[in-house]
Amino acid sequence: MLMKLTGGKIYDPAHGIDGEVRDIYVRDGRIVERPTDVKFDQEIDVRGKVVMAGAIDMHTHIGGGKVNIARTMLPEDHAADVVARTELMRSGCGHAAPSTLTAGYRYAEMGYTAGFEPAILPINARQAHMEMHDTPIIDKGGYVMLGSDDFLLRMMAANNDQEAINNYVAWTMNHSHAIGVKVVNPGGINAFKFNQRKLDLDEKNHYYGVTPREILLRLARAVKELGVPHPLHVHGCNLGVPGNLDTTINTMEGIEGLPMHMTHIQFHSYGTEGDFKFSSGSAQIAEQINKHKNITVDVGQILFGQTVTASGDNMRQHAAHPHAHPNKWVCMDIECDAGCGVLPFKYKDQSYVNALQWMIGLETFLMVDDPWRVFLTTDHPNGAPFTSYPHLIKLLMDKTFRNDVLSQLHPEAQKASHLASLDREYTLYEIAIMTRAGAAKLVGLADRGHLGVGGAADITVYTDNPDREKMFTTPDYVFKDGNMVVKDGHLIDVTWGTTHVVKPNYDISIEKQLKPYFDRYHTQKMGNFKISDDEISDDGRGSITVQPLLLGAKYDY
Amino acid sequence: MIINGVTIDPTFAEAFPMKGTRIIITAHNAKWAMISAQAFTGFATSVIACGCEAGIERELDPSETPDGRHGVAVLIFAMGGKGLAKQVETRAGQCVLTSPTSALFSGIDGEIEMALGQNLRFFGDGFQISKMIDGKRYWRIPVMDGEFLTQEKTGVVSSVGGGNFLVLAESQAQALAACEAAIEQMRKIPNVIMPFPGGVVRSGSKVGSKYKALNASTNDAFCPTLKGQTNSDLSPEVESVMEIVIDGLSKEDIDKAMRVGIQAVCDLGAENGIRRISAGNYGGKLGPFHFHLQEIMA
Amino acid sequence: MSALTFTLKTAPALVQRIDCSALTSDALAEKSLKDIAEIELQTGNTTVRADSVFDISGDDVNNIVFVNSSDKLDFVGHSMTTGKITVEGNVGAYTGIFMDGGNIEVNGDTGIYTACEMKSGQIKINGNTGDFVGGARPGRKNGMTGGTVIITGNSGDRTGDHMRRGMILIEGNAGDYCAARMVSGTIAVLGDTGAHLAYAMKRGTVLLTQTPSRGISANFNDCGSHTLAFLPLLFASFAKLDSKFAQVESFSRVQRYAGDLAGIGMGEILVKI
Repeated sequence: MLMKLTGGKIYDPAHGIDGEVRDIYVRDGRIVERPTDVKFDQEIDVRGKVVMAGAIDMHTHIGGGKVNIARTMLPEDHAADVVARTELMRSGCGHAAPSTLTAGYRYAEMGYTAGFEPAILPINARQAHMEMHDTPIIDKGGYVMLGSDDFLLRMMAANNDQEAINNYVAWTMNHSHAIGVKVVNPGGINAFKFNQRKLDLDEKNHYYGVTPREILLRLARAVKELGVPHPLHVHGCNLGVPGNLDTTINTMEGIEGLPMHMTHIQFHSYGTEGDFKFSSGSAQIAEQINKHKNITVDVGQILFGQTVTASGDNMRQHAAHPHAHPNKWVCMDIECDAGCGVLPFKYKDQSYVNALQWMIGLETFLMVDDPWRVFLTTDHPNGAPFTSYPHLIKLLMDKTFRNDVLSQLHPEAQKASHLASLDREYTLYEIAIMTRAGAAKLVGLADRGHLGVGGAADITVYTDNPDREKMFTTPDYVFKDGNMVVKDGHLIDVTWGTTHVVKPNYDISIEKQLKPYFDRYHTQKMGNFKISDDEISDDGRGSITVQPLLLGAKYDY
Repeated sequence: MIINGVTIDPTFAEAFPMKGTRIIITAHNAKWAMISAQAFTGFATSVIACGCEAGIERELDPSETPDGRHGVAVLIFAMGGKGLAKQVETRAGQCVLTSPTSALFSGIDGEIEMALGQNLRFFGDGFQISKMIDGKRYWRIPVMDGEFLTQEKTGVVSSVGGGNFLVLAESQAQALAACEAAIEQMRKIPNVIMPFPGGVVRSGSKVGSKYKALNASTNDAFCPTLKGQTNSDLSPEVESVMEIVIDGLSKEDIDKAMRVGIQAVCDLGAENGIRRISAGNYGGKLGPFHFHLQEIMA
Repeated sequence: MSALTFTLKTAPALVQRIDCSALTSDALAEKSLKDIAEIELQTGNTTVRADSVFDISGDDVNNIVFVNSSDKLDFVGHSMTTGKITVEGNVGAYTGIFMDGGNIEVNGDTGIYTACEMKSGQIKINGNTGDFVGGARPGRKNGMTGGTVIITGNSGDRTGDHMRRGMILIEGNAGDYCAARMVSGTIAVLGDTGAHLAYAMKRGTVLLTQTPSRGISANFNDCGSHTLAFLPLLFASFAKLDSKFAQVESFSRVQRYAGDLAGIGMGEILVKI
C-alpha cells in the first residue's frame, strides 16, 4: 500500500521544515523516500493545505481509577452529552469525563494521534491500561506515579543508595508498562495519611522523615541514570495555593540541573499580591523557565465552564473540596501507593480567581521563549476538557481574539494582569513544535511527531483557515499509521493505536525485597501485580511499542 | 354645608401614597394575641419620627386565622417598601417573636412581597425548619416555649396615609367625646387604622417653623389660645380642636372611614357643642390624594 | 372536545418498554391526530410509530388518557407543565419525571422512580408505587423539588430518596428506607413504614399517624411530645386534596424524633399522640 500526499505545506519542526511545499509518501504505515518505481495505490491532493504530524497530548487523564470515579460521580456529565451509536462508532457520552471510546474518537477528529495518561498508580496500572486499551485510534502510554509510595519512602528513610532506588524505579516502570515517571505532590499524598494537611518542599513527612525535595532529587536522578527519555514528570507541592510561586521556583532550582518536567505550571504560579491576596506569578516563573534549560513545562490552561478535576493529589483536592461544583467529591487512599481526589469544578469568567488563572496560563504560554519546552495542555479534564484545544490554539495565535475574550472577564482580574500588553502570537510552526515535535521528543517517541522518513505515518491535514479554532477543530484528513481515519472532520475508520513504553534495565534481585512487601502490605501478590505484554496485545487490537532509551544509560545488564 | 348644626368646611384633607401590609398575630388566647399586637403597633403614630404608622385593624376569631387560634390583624404603613420592611422586621423580632405562644402570618397578598419572618429565622441558629405549605414558605423557629411559627413573606400594597378631619368644639370635653364616638364607628371599617393614641391627635401641625431645625410646628391657626395673637382660623365659640388621622389600604377605604367618623360627630351635633368639621392640607400641592369633606358627606 | 386517548394494542404484545415522553400536552400542542400517529416512540434500540402501538382517538391534548396501559410504558408525563394525563391500568418507570405542572392520575400501579425529580404539579396513584418515589436519578443530589404525590396504596422502598421539597402522601404503607437521604420536604404515611425509616435523612418531616411497627432508629433522638403550630396549616392544605388525608382529623400533638444523627440530624419524624 503506497500513498502520496501531494503538494501540502509541511510543518515539521523536527526537521526544521516551516511551511515548505513538499510531497509525502507513505508505505505500509511509514513515511518513506520518494519511490522511483511504482505507481501509487492512492494519491491525495493536499495542495494549499497545512500538513503536520498527528498531534500528541503529553498530559491527559484518559485512564485509571480516578477517571472512572469521575465518570461514576457525574451522571449529569453523561446525560448532557450523549453520543449515539453509528455504523462505525459505538455509543458513548461525557463532556468532562468522556467514555473511553468517545475520547478516542474525539481526539482523532481533532487531529490528535497520541495521548499520555500522566498518573498511573502502579497498583492500578492494569486498570489504566485496560481503559486506554479501549480508547481507539490514538496511541497511548502512561507515566507511573511514584514518590508517595511506602516502598520508596521506606528505602529513603533507610537511606538506601541511589542504585537501589534506580532498580526499584526501573522494575516498576517495566511491570506497569510505563514510558515515564510521574511524581504528584512529592511525599504529600503519603503525608496526608499521617494527618499532614500541607507539605512544603523542605517539610518532613512526619513518619518517614523525608522531604519532597529529597524525593524529587532521588527520582529525577533515577530517571536520568536509567536513560528514560521523558524527564521526571512533576506535579509540585502546594498546587493552587496562593504564593506557591516561591515553592515552584525553589523546586526548579533545587533539582540541581537534572531534567525535570513541571506539569500544569499554571496551577503553581500564584502570588499573594493585591486586594484579593491572589496574583499572577507567571512573569517570574517564565523567567525561571527561560533560565533553566533542564526544565520543561506544560501549562494546564483553564478554560471557562463545567469540568471535573481528577488528581492523585488528595492533599490539595481535600483542601479544595469546599469549591466542588456540583457539591460532591471523593478523596481516597489507594493502598500503599498513593491516593486520589476527584472534584467537579466550574470555572467562571466572572470569578476573580478563575479569570486570573486563565490569564496566568496564557501569560506563561506567551512569556516562555522556547516552544520546545512549553506544551499545550489543559491537564484534561482538570483545566478544561481536551476538546477545547482548538479554542486554546486560537487564543495563542490570535491576539485580537484573545483580548476580546479578556475584556469580558472579571474587571479586577483584568487589572491584575498584563496579558493585554503581550503581543506575541504563536505561529503554525510553533504550534507544531508544542503539539508535535516537542511533545514527541519530550515523551521519548522516536518515530512519532515528525514527518521524516521512517516515521510513523500519523499525519494531520488542515485547511489554512484564519479562524484557527475552526481549523484545528475539523482537520481535512487524519492518517493514523497510514490509514485515513478522519475525512472532513468526521471519523471514517476506527483503528487501534499502540501503547508506548520504555524498558529500562533492572537487577532482578530487587524482587527479593518486593515479594515479601507485596505479600505483607498489598492486596495482590507481586506476580499478579506484573502486567504481561500479552494482556495488552493478546487480542490483536493492542500492541506494545518499546521506545529506545537515551544513549549512555548507566545500566546495561 | 351644615349637618345637624355642624358646619362642614369647603376644604379637603390631603394624603400621601404609602406602602402598607397587613399581618396577623395569633396566640394561645385573645389576650396574648392582643398584647403582642399592641407591642408591635406601639410608638408608631407618625412616620415623621416613628418610621412607620401602625395600628390594630381588628381582632380575629379562630375561624379567621391561618392556624385556628385567636388573632389580631394589624396594618402597618411606611413611606417606602424598604422602610416598611425594616420596621416590620424589627417590630416582629422584638414584639412578636418574643411574645409567648405567638405566631406571625401575612394577612394580605401583593404583587410585591417583602420579608416577614425571613430573617427572623436566623434566630434559630441553624435549628430553624422551613416548611412549604400550599406554595407559601413558613419558618419554624425553636424557642423556649415551643416553636415560633412565622410566614416567610408578606405582600406589600400601595396604600394611602394621612387622611384626616378636624373636630372643632366649644370645649375640650365635647371635642374628646365627639372624637371617641367617631373612632368607635371608624374602627368597624376594614382596611383602615387611626394610628394616634386612641385614634385622636391634639397636636395638629403645619409645615415649617420659625426654628430652622424643625420642618413642622404647631398649627397655630387652630390653636384656641392664640386666637388673638395669630391669623386664627377659629371663631370665638371654638375652644378646642382635635384631629383624627386615617391610614388605609386605598382611598375608598379612607373615604368610608371619614364618612362614618364625621357622621358620628355630626350626630352629636351643635347641641353637644360641635361647631365645625375641617381638615388639614398643604394647599393641595404635596399629596396626590384629596378628600373633600363636602363630597364625602354629600 | 373529547379526551385524547391512547389505547394500547393488545397484539402484538409489547416486548420492549416504550418511552412515552413524547405524549404530553406540552409535546402534542398544535399537533393533528395525523401528526400524533406519526410520532416515533423509542422502544428498545429502535423506534416505532405511535399508531403502531396505540389506537389513538380524541382531540383534547390537555386531557390525555392511556387506556389498557401496561407497566412497560415509561416516562409518562415526562417534563409536562400543563394538562392532565389519566392512566387506566399499570404504568412503567419514571412516571412524571421532571414534571413541572399539571396533573397525572394513575388507576393502577406505577413502576420505579415515580415523580422522579418532579418540580411542581400533582400525581395521584390509585394503587401502589415502585421504589424511589420522588427520588433523584442515580448520582443526582436532589429528588423532587416541589408538587404533591398521593399514593392510595403502598409505596415501594426508598420513597423520597434525596427528596428536596414537596409532599408525598401515602395512604397505605411505605416500604423500607422511607425518607432515606431526604434533604427536605414532607412525607406523610397513614399506614406502617418499613425498615430503616429515614436512614441518612438530612432535613424534612416524616409525619406518621401511628407508631412504626419497627420502631424508631437508634439514629433518631426523642425530642419529647409537643404541640406544633404548623400542623394545622398542613392539614388545612390537605383539605382540598382528593385523598384520605383530607378526612384525617387535624392534630398538632406529636412525639418529635430528630435525626439522622449520623449525619447533620436536622430531619424529624413526627408521630401522632
